[in-house]
Amino acid sequence: MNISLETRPGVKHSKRVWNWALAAALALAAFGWVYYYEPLQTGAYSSYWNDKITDAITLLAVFAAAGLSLNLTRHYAPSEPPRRVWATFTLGWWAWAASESLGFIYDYFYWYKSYPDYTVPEITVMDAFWLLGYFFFGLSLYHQFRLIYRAKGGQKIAAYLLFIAAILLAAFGLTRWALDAGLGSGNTWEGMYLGILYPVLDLLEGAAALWLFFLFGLGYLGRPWWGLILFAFADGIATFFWLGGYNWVSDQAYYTLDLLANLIYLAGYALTALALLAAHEHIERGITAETQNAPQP
Amino acid sequence: MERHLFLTGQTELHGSLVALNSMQARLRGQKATGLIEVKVGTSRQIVIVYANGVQVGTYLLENDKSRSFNLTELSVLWGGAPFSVSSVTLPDRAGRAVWLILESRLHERAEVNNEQDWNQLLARWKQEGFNGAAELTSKTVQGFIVLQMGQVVETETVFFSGNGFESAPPPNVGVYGAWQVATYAASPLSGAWKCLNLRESAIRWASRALDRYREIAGYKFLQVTSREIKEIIRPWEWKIEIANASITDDHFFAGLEAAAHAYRALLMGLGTQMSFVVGSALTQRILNEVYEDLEADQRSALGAHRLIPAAFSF
Repeated sequence: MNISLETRPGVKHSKRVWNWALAAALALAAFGWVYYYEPLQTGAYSSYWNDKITDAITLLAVFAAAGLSLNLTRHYAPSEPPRRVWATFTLGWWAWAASESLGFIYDYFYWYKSYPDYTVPEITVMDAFWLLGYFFFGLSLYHQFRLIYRAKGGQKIAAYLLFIAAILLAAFGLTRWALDAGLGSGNTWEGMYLGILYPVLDLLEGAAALWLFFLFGLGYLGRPWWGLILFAFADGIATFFWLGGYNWVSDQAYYTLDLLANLIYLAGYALTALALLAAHEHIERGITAETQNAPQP
Repeated sequence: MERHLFLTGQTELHGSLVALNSMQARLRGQKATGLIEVKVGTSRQIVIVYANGVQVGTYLLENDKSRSFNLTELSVLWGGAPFSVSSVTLPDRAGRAVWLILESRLHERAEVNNEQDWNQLLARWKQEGFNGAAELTSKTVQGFIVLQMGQVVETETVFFSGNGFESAPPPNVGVYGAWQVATYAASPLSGAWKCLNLRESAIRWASRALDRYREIAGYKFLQVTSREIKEIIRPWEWKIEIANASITDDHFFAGLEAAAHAYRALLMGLGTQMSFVVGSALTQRILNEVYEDLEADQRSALGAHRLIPAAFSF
């Protein structure tokens, strides 16, 4: 007997996923073009309106990721262990969607209304939502690893909270070290602390997502994590500049890297949304096919 | 072996080699599972077992013993006297059970006259950790059960009542007249018992892998994945059913190699489909994890046919 398997998935990517991938590519191109060339010339507010166009594209992407994440979570019954993973993942995206939305409001009051001054407070409500997002993503990663490595003994949220406390302490230590080293001049202590905490969280969550990438490979349920890897990259470049990296590169390199960081940032949202859509479609099409093949009464 | 099974079959009292050949040809042509019985005199029976059209074995039953028999010896044994020849098609599960019995040696006989007797017998098997099979017959019912460590293996149970086959013992064993129970000790080196062990091991491995996959991916992904696996193995027409994480194999494979091929294809399809959702590394990890959790004898049954995690790549 010859075993020759037709193992290609019967449920392939739908046309819808490809169409949305094309739309995401076009949005990325539009974002890059507006960000780099600032084509809107409306006088004093040109920069503001060009920025709002790129922000609007970002907002669409983050809401797509948050909405589709919710959609995937709905495929799980409350008693199913993976629901914890995807429910907390969804909360993370909604927290970041809230933060991106607040960016509009802050820009309106602190940029448009107070023109020509542009002084946004160092710590804002946006930061609370960014941090909340990191918290939920971390929790989601924690649940995912526990599920894969068959961790026993209840949920152990306390262990996660301890881990968070350790990260906050580490960031505290790094802040003291940075201030002693004379970095971050002009920042308050709190501003400096946040400025250090973000890349630390990015690094940790990016590394955890990379680990999942090696475990899940190209699997549907591994792809939504790719967004976090891209954010770690994008924020890595931003942190490099924040630490004064712009002094070490040419202007052209700076502009190119800055554009790249922003494109990767947007791609993080878009990729997550597409990955979640593909996973949702895989389920939907598979179940529809099963219903169609079921014997009719 | 009792003959109730043949009630639905075809019998020629004045059998001939021509009749025997035509019955064989029919089972082969229809790719059917079934038995052909040649009665030689009053004390000897020759039973030919077919699994989905393929001859699995020929056995001579004499003095409560069964031994493998070469059909060409029939004419010598026959000696020109008339013999009856019967054939019957059976569901695969019944065919497998009969094959097991034919490849085993009689352990003991008992009579069950009431429910209490039956329960006592079950309790004794459990206490002894009996491994083997049992044939139960009443006036109208004939059935087979397989016991592992004294526990009845539900997926191997089959009963014939004249109205058809059931996969569970009738509720009235021991009631309404006497039941004859013949137990057969397992012969782990025989093909039938090796097949049983391989089947149990492979199906357990595959089912548990799907169950673990469900834990990670969730029920709906499992639903889609099992549907895809069913589609993949459909062309072979094996009687292997996949309902979410539960796999039941009711196919009678004509030997170890055929069974091993089927399980290789099943595990390959299962792994490939799982890898579309959780990736190849995690799929490999799940297969490894579950394989390590199997009993040592199950791992060795699988390993003998290179059904090991390392043999699969997705």
